[in-house]
Amino acid sequence: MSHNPVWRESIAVFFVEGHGYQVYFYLLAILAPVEFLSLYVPSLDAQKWSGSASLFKVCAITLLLLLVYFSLRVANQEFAPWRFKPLKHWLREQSYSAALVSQAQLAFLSAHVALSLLLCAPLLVWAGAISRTPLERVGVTFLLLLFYGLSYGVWGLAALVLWERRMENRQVFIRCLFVGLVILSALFYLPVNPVAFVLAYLGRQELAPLTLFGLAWPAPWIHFTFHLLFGGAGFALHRWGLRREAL
Amino acid sequence: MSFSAAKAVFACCQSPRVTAGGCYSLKSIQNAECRVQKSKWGNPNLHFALCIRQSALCIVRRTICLLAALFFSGLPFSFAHAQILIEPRVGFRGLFQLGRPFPLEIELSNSGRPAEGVLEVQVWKGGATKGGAPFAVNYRREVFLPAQARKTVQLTVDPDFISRPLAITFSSPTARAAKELDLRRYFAPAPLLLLLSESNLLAPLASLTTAPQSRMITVSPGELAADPRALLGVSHVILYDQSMRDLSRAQLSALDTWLTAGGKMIIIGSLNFALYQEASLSRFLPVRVTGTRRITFTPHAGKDGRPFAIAGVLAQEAKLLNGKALTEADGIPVLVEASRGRGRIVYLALDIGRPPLSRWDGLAKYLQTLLTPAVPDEASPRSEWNDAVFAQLVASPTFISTYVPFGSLFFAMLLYLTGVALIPWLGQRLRLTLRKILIGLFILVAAGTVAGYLQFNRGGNIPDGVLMSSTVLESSGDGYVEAQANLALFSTQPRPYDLRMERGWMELTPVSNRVRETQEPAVVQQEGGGVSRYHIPLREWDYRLFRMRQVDRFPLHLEFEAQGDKLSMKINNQSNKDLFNCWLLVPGQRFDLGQIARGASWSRTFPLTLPKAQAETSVTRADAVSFRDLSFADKTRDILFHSSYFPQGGIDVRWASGAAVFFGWVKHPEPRVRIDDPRIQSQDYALFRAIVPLNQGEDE
Repeated sequence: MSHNPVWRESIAVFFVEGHGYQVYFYLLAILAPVEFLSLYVPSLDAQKWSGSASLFKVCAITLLLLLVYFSLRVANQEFAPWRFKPLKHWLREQSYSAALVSQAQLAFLSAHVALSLLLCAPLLVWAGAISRTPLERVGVTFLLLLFYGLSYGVWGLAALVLWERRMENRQVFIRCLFVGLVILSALFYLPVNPVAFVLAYLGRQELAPLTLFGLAWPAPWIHFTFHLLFGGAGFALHRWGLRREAL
Repeated sequence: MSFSAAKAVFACCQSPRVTAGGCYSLKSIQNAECRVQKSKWGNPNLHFALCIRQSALCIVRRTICLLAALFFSGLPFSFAHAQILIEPRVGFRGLFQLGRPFPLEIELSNSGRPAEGVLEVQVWKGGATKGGAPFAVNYRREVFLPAQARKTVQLTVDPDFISRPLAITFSSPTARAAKELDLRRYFAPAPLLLLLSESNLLAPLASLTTAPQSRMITVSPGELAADPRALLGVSHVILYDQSMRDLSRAQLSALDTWLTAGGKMIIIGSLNFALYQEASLSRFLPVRVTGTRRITFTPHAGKDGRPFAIAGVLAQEAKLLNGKALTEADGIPVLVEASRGRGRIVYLALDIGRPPLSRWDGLAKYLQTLLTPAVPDEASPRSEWNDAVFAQLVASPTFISTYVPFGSLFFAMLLYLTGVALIPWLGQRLRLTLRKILIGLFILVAAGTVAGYLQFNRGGNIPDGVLMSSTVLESSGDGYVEAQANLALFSTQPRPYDLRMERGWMELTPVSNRVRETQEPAVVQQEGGGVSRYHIPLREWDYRLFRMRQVDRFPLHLEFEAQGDKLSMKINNQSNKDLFNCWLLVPGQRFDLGQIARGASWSRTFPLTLPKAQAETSVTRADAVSFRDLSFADKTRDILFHSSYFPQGGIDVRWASGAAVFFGWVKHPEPRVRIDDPRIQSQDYALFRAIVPLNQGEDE
């Protein structure tokens, strides 16, 4: 991978030139105050302590939203877009294969998601320790965050290859996708929504199964099937877009 | 024996040595394969006899093998199990007061193997009358039942409502028995009166049952409960001509505790004065009985208004020890009343069971007067204790700081964010490769994560839970206080808690909590002699509130005397506790008394009238005591004082109309409830309080 020029370009733009630091700055600059303030400014209704009790939940959900949002934007090359060479350059002028470009872009998306999680790991683990969340639940939450980051982020790549020269279209698309699937999907069927799923998992609650064709499908199955199909569709679209661009 | 042993026994049955028993039917005599037939004894008769003998031996062997196999295999076979029969006895001779705890005696009969198991009684609490959903509480006792034996277990149960049956179960690895009991057949709406008397001269006492709704039950000393809580549904214990020698130490202690907690004891003298000199009875007497003699008794004025006298009444000679002699005749105290804590002891020196008093037609009416107190008991003002009060407490910085490490989290975040910013900056300055920067970042993240996790999870003195007790010690004079303890148990992680109540506690009531009532039931582990543990599971960041009541010794004597426009106050702190932040509040004024150390004794006089300038500017009611402007350095004390002990617009108005209120915080108060676990932090607050109505000039 280190010899892949598309990968090397992304690394250079983000980390050597430092254009990507702002993403991680935003992540930490939002997550840290949310964590501290939800601990320091407690609020208690008549029944439930919602400050440090829900600290890990609050932090995990905040990180989920930030991670998905920034993954979509990073994949969509919204940070320093002028520094990235167009796909035409790689696919036609340099005659690199679509698979090579796809591999590099996916690897960079994965690296971004992993680095985001790595940087936020201490804050999340501390929150878990303070709110006495069992370690295995903290671990599973990290895996879920990684899964969501990739399955949603791949749609940023798809948008990039489908509308490369229409940046506004891409931006509107990924924001609509983010709002629609990460937030509004809860209104239609709760187990599909990642926020609801993480909250249910951390709160040890069971989500209602989906009854389809007379069969009750467990909510986790529906959730993961949906996200695998969703991520798979994004990946297929990305590959298809790259191949179309290469022609 | 283990399963493998059982298998071995089966294998033994199947072994050739055993199965080759030969033929064991007459038909087998003709069996060509018969080994005996093939033997050297060819005689048919001998052969027949031998075959029969071998067959019998074979049957015996097989039967033994089969029995042994069944015995060791653990199969459901009646000989291998205990058979338990549950026989409950409710209250006092089948009666209890509705809404109060009562004794439940359970006789367990075992007609099988020994059984070691758990006896559990499930009752229902909460419900519509308590303003919440019903929830189950299990009372539990571990019991060992020997083979072919009976055992009686005494529990004190306290259901809030009786429309659901009480369920009794005994479960052990070898046996299980259950019984349900409909309590609606056993309740009485009013408190019970217990009569302890060996004498059969009971005719006058029988008239006491005519009191409205009250039921008098004659019990033997052995039937008295050893747990003071079981007596809470009893208003009076009447003793006449009864030896208390057979009472156990636990029973005496229970009676004593019940008495100080508000019970009333009426001790009626008899000819057998020696009974009253026994230590077990004399501990309750306000007099020292020395003998008997006949006196002339003048109970009250007759119908015509003239004094009415009965001559030759048999009375006990006695010397007054404490209390107040209400009636005296011929130089001996006839009727003595003494208080003990919130309880009352009435001693009547006359023998009512013997003539001439037993024939007096006014006796029943006279005895009725003994049951009704001269001055009606006034209940202590209740402190507020609910979710709203706890919400304030848990949000106050002093309480939060015990378990929320926001200070250390702030510094940890600051350090980490600085490190994260510094590493790429240094990398660029020192022209480090991206790999080295990433390694640096990884090390920082790994070290920060592990160190922070250990600090916030294991270290930093974050407790698993916080048990807070806030107690009001309400002075009732004579060195006793009524302790109303409000408890809050707050958990930071899912785990069970074992609350161990100190001896002498009388009531532990969960404060209704609508959301959590459907969760796992609480278990009260009763270990006999009034020792109980309250086992309650809590989830993370969950809490429970309880109220507890206890009457305890606290020899801090206060005397108030209103002298015109002045109030004289005498204080003598004989307790082993210091009081600090002490205040005296009278209508319109307050006086800071500072600290009252143990052993301190002084008297002071305070003006009751407002200074003229202050009176003109005062906007408060002149006869009201105001706590509004009082504040304490400790925020938790502040919240407890203003929201719990003296709530604004509170439910009690005893201090709202002409009263003097003295209070002081108790330094290092004794915990009323303990959890023997160093991971549970305990916070105890106690306030000593005395409220004296000024318009009556009553001494406290």
